[in-house]
Amino acid sequence: MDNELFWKLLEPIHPKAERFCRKLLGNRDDGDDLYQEAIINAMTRFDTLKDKNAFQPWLFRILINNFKNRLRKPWWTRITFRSRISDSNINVDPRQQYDSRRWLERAMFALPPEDRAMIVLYEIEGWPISEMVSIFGKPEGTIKARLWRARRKMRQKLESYPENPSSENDDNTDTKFGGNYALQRSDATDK
Amino acid sequence: MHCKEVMQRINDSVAPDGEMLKHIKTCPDCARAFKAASILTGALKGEKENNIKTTPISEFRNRITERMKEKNKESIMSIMKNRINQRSGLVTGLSLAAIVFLFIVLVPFSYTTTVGYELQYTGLNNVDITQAQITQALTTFGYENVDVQLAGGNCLISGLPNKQDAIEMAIAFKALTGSMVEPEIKPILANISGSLYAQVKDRIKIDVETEDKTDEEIADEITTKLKKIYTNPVVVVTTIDEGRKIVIKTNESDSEITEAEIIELLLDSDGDISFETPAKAARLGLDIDTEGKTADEIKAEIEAKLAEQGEDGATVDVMTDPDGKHEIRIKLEKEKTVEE
Repeated sequence: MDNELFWKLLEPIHPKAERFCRKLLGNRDDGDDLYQEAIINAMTRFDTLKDKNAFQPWLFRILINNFKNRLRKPWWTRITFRSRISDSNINVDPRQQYDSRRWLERAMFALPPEDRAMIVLYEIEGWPISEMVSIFGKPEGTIKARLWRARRKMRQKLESYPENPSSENDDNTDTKFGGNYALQRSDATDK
Repeated sequence: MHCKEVMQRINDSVAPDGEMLKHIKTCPDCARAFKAASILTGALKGEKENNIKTTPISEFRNRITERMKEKNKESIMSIMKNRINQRSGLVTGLSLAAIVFLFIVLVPFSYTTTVGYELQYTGLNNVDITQAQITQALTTFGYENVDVQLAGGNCLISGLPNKQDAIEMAIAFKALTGSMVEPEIKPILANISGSLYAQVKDRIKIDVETEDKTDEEIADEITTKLKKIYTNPVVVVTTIDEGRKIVIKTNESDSEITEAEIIELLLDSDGDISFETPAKAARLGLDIDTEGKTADEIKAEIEAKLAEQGEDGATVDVMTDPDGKHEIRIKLEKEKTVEE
């Protein structure tokens, strides 16, 4: 294997790949563990990648497959002690960030692994759908439809929870979460 | 505006107008859906804005290098553990194998086996010898652990480990007492508790090739092999529709044959024969009438009977002393001396 070439190709996409894994699993420790496992897998299979220009979608496919395999493992092998604080953004109110993540975790839990990966890439990481096509090997229309269904499913999941972290401000849900009311992604140009 | 239209707008992430907000205020279901959609949007946006500091590539590369080194150092046990974790079927298979192994080795079953032989004489009225004298004489011959009980013309000699010893003992007893009474040789059966493995170990295996052989040839081959274990085995091989039927009676002359000593086998037409038989059986038995015969005649008769039992290489010496008593020496694989 050409070790140097692998690391050279990884360097520009390393930050978003690492971030993707952390957000996919909802915490830094599990995310880093998944990322390291996937990179080791990718290194061992690097010789099978014919077109080195397709490194990014190839690597993300490996990340997603590793994520799927991880979810297939028995639940007791997936228990880890999480460190949420290290992922916190110091510019955001910790209470608000905690509530927000709690809701997101609940909503994401309703989705199958691949749909979860789609939501993270599109809604959180802001990838254009055209780039997601090469990762998931599906046409744009299919990806859009799946994103629509995934989002509806997440919303329905949240509807089923009686408690609401923002209950003290029920009348202002349109301003509390994300400032102005916005159901659309702010940079959803290809939607 | 109706609920259906509002829900459609919520699902399509369309921004609400005044009419939609008016409906939401009056409809609890739509209000709940709208609220959940708002929460979701906020949560996704919050997560998007959360800029996580990522690990520098050089540091990450070092971590991967270290992790790969550790992976290469993985012990055989951890590799096995990983393989087992990946294959739940393997775990089940290994567990079953372990259970079967423990079952075979540890779980006891009761089974009957021959643990020795005894000689029973009846009608020894003309014998002028005491129990102590018989015991002493047999001890002189080397039968130290033999128990003799003589009472009222009956004699029971027990403690003989195998049938060969029982037959030799009968010859020795005849020589010692001069009695012509034939003893009854009885196997001593014991109900033993042992594992399946112990039962199998207590048997010996016989292999016979059947390819291009007639029933008679197969019977002869099995008989020859069995003769090394049993005194007079009888083997009958017949061809039947399903293949071959083989009936083996391990000792024709033995009146006390147990069920365990009759073996019935049903085989496919071309299958080679492989079966097991109890190992604790007499290896050799001789019944010779010496009355009125010369030493050479006795020798010839013994050699013929030994040859019948597959003992071709035996050396037989018969000597007659001035009193007319015969001394017979038979040399087999292990040397035994029998005096008459």
